[in-house]
Amino acid sequence: MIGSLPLDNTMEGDTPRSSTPLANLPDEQLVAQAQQGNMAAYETLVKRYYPMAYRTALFLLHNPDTALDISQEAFVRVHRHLKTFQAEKPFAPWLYRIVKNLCFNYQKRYRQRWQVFSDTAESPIHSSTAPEASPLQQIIQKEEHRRLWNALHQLNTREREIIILKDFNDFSYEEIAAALEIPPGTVMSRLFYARKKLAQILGGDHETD
Amino acid sequence: MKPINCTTAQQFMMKKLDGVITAEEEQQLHQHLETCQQCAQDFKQIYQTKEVTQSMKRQLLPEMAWEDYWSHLYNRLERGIAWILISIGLILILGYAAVDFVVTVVFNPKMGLVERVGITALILGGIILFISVLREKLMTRKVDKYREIQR
Repeated sequence: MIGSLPLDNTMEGDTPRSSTPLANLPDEQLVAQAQQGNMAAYETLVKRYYPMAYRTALFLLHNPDTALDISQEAFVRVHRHLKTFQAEKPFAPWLYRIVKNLCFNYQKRYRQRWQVFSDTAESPIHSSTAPEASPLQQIIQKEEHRRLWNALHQLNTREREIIILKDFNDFSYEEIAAALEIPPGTVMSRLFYARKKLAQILGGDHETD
Repeated sequence: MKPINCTTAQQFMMKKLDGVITAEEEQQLHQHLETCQQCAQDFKQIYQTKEVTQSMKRQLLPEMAWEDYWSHLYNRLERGIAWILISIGLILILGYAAVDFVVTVVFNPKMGLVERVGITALILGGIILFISVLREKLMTRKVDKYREIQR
């Protein structure tokens, strides 16, 4: 419950950083500790999963600012409902479903739809590349990412979703099954066809260039 | 070693790409790819795509630093508590004021009827006006497609 938030002693300067044992704890233990009001455990969970929440929202909404906002709102919901969550269940699929629902609600509210990413010329990928990369390598990489971004948005929602979960968020097959509420046996075949289609789109894209 | 069909090979390809394949499965996959051109071509294409997704993944991070992210989130949590407390306070105060109003004005025999009706109408009108303006503001905000556009 939000009421158990210790307001006076857990601001960022005081909380344990990644060097503390908390960072090495598995999700279920962090969730159990956070359920008992341990704000540092909750912070560790947020730190572990905020890139995932952000990336998911970014893929669904295409807007970095909105994605940031939605990802934070998702963690507020996590905090609010943490007491009712069963700690032994996997945390990542639960968080994924919260982010996805928030994105759906956001789109519904603004009367937008899941659509092909055709109305935005620039992909929201930050231009930072490896410092050792030459300018030419950087341009090539940026172009590759732009092409991939466009290809991803030519997939249907089901295909895109499974690629976001596996390739961009490193979910295990079991976690994907839980997040998408499908049998574990279906995960690999769905993933294969989604990846194959993505590869074909990228291949065709290369040929037309 | 037992040969595998294309459907199983597709599953093993995924396991191989995701680093969860066993040594035996890897051998079976290898054997299959040597004899099945279609699967070998699929695997090559998918492998190349996976390399690009991994490179892109590293760049899909919030522009906000972790400390700022956490600070924003913490503020949101704090404000959540503040709003809950404010709501509870408002409900209690308004409830008390409503009861007090009914006792001291509406059922006050010392006040004339015109006086009582006048005060009640004035207060009710004010409340309705406030709710109406508030609702209009909230609805406009909710359906405004250009809300996020900066001037």
